[in-house]
Amino acid sequence: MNLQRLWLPILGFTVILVVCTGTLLAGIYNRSGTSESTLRLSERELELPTGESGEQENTPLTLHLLWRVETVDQAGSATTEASSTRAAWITQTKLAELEIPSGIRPNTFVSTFLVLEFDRRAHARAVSRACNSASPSRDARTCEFEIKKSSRLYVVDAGRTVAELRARYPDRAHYAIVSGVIKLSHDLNVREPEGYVSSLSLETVQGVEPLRSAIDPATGKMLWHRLQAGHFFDAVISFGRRLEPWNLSIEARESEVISPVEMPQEGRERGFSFSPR
Amino acid sequence: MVDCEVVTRNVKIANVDNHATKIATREAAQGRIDQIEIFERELAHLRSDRVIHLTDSQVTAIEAYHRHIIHELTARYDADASESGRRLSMSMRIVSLIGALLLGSSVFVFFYHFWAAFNVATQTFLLCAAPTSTYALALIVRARDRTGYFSRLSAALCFASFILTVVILPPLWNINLGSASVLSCTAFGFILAYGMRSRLQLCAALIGVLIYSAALITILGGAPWWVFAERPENLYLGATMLLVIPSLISQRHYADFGTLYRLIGTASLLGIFLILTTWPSLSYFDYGPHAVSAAYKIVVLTGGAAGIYIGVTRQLPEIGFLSSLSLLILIGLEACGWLLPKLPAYQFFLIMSVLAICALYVLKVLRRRATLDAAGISQ
Repeated sequence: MNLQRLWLPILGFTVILVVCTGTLLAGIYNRSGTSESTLRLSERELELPTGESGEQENTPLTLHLLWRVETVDQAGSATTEASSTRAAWITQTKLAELEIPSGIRPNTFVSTFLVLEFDRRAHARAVSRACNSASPSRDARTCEFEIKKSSRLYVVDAGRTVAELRARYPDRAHYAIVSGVIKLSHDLNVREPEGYVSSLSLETVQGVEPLRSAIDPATGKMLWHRLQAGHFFDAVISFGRRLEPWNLSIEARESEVISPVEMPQEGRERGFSFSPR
Repeated sequence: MVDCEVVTRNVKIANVDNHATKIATREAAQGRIDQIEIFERELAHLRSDRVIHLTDSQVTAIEAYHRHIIHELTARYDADASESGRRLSMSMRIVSLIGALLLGSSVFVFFYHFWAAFNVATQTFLLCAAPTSTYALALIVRARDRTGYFSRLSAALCFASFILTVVILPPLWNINLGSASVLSCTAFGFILAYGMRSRLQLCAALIGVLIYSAALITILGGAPWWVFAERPENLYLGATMLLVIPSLISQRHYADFGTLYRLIGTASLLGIFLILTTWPSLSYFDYGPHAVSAAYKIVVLTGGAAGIYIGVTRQLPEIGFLSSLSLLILIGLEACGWLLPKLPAYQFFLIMSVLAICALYVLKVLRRRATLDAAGISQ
């Protein structure tokens, strides 16, 4: 059999082999060595798969990261509207730091490294703003939602290199660095750039094995289905060498996590700082 | 009456076989049979008009020769020797296409239905095994299928499995392959298209070339690959490549492949021009929307005219058709946006009909020139 007759099998199987093994090796490389960061998230930051009633068992188990951005008035965006909410930290200074030229055209997308902050300053500001009795925008339901339900995961900064961002945010248990995209456009009223966090490079995390295959003996349904009904769980998410997340463990919890309410102090700093607490 | 001397000879099977073995594809076999039918009809006319005179033995020898070729080609390539057969072949082609789409969907739905019941190792194994096994199946079917319908069907099944793997496997391992996923699908599409002579996979691969080349340009600009469509000019490189490739690499062994290259390349190029005349803000050129729009209108006019000329003179009807269509769309858009609000309706339609007649006249002149060229008559 000459080479001319063999080119089709050789090329085809080579492409299949490269795709399959390449993906597996990339996954193994991402998880090898020490994690870049590890966050202990809950049902507030991870959305379990939803599906039509009766078909949920067949829904692939994919956990969606629920992230937010801090708006100009220090409120947290809704997780569903995070990518369309103007991020307060994307300023002219930040763009200069990212070496993005000032003459931005509408709908310019830029790939960059983003910082995910978990349960730190941005969330504390959002809680205090929603629950501060002196604030004119106080709303009891919003306050309760911020304390008990809302995601504490915020995209708070961007940088050109991982090392630069890690130097600024050394706490690996509360700050994760991921690849992502910001979208820029002009604010025609004030002639300032208007920035949005368009997306993270990977916004889903596959559930771990016990959760995926375990069956609840009481109902006969899969464990994740029970978790969804109770809706309280802790999940440890690690970000690896490729800055891509994976699920280390997931455990059910009896009660919800309540965020502490910290009222603003006199002389408390306003605006935004990129240094961690 | 012209006496035509035809050397009567016994049709030797060896000669016929030699001729038939030169034909390598079903399309070529079908073309040969069609040619014989046309010749027989023309011969009947020539004989009835007494242009040539053939003896009965000569006619019998020609008929026997043709019958033998037709028999050989229908047996070897399952080509159609009758009009009803051709119609059925067309139906088979349509059924084959629908079957390919349904098979691909069934694979997807099958995986989706039972997916959560499998653990990660099983899922990974299934995702790697699906394209491997379907590709092996496609190779086996290709070696045994004379018609090509079943090999194309198995190629579609294989391609669906491969895309499924590229889409599902990376998220399963929490990996983002980025534009490499488009590259791998494009490469595999080309392998299947040329290996199985499948037009469907070729279309997918050509669209992959457009997307991947645009993605590369987008990445070089610092943006994520998936926003390539934000600037339609990113697609220029791919569209130009598709137009140039059939000229550089001959596609004559693959029926309709060259046409598909030119069709998708021309449609993309003229489509980008038309999009940018309407939405100039999408252009990389930052000279103001009016200037960019006007520049692209000139490009559509010159490109469309050049396309019609090339299409007619080089016998590439797909380029001529798409160029005419783009000019028609541009003129229609301009007329509706500019003339219609300013003129009374009767004047508007009068001008449009005059324009249509002018276009018809130009096309007629070009067609006449092409016909004369084809007939070898110089003016």
